[in-house]
Amino acid sequence: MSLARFDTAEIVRFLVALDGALASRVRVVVIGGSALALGYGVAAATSDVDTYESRNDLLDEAARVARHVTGLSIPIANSGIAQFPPGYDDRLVRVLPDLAHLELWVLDAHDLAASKLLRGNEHDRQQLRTLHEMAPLDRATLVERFHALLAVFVGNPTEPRWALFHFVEEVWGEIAALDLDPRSSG
Amino acid sequence: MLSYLVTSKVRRRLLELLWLHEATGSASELARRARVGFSTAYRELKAMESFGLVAVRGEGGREVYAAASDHPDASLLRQLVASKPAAAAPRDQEAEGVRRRARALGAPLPVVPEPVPDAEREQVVVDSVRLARRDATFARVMPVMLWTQRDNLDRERLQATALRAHEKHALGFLVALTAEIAGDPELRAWSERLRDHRARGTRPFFALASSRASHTLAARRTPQVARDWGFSMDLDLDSFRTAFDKHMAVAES
Repeated sequence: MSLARFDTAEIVRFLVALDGALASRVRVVVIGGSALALGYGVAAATSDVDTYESRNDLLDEAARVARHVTGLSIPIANSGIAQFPPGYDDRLVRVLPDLAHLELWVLDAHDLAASKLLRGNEHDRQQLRTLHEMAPLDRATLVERFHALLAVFVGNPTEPRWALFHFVEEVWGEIAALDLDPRSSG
Repeated sequence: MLSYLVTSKVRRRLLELLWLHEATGSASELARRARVGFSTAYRELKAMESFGLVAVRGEGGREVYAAASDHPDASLLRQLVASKPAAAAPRDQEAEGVRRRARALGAPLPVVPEPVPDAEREQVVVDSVRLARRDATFARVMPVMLWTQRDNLDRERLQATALRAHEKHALGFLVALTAEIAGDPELRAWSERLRDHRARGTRPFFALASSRASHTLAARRTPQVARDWGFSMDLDLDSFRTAFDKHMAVAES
């Protein structure tokens, strides 16, 4: 049995082939592991390309061609449940701008980090520490985006607050995290 | 690192303020910034002064404290207070070799696979267990590898290899976790043969500095199967299950 997993070079090769098979312009917002890899060089194996609020129906035929041409069976999956800080769409970052038809965007690093911290487990924070190495995050911006997201977050905010607290402590130290301690923020 | 070496909260925070943030100020100002009591902060600053760790100057009738930059160990202190949990997963040659061989055995990782001779499969699995304890992302996909290799491994040899590497109990936990996710009672029964019955209490599964700091989240998120094996971790069962289901579904499609 061969398990499907794709690295950044393979995803790029697939997306270039996808672009070549498109006849008209399609805008796609990539999220998840593919966004970390394409936007910020964080090595992450992924079994698909996760997208958000994108017209993937316009990609179906081209994706079939791209899979055939590259031999890479990469599914493109639209996520309906992702939550991002308000205004994230004004801060999207263009990736692979030389593609002719495929207009690819990823979240700004702070929006991506804030979104990942909603869960913020050890695996998420490890990826974010790598992101911080590749694209240094600004503490104040991250905290601001996180709180803006939390204001519209559907769910219990307790664990996300702890995740932010731990991440800030891990990256910027104990003093930098003092005002984020969930025990003192009520 | 600092939180492990310096267990006094007041001392740790003052060291960080003075040596990392290069703060200066009176005892009451520093105490406020560190959110500690004035009297303990004052005592600590005076102790630091006696060791030459802070420089004190008079300014408008008050004592102002700053890091003693001319201290012979100043650069060492700065490095210590700036020390953070490993920024990313281990990237040394040995770790990369384990990843390449683990990929050859089915672990979905973004590396080029390195072929593994049949006789070395068990060693790769044990090496993977050791790496999983330092790399949460790697740990997350361990069940995919263990499930893929479940019928290819010489279980007696695996047990002996894991015993020699002092990872038998951790391997047992990961096998039990895989059995839980895959719903395989036979694998679960076999995992029990790997249990170290001398193990008592609970300890973090991950050998990462961050895993000690995030004990609050670990207390909420540790999967029951990990608790049963005496481990805590800030990685819930859903996280393992999602990775497993995603990769296995793609593999079987």
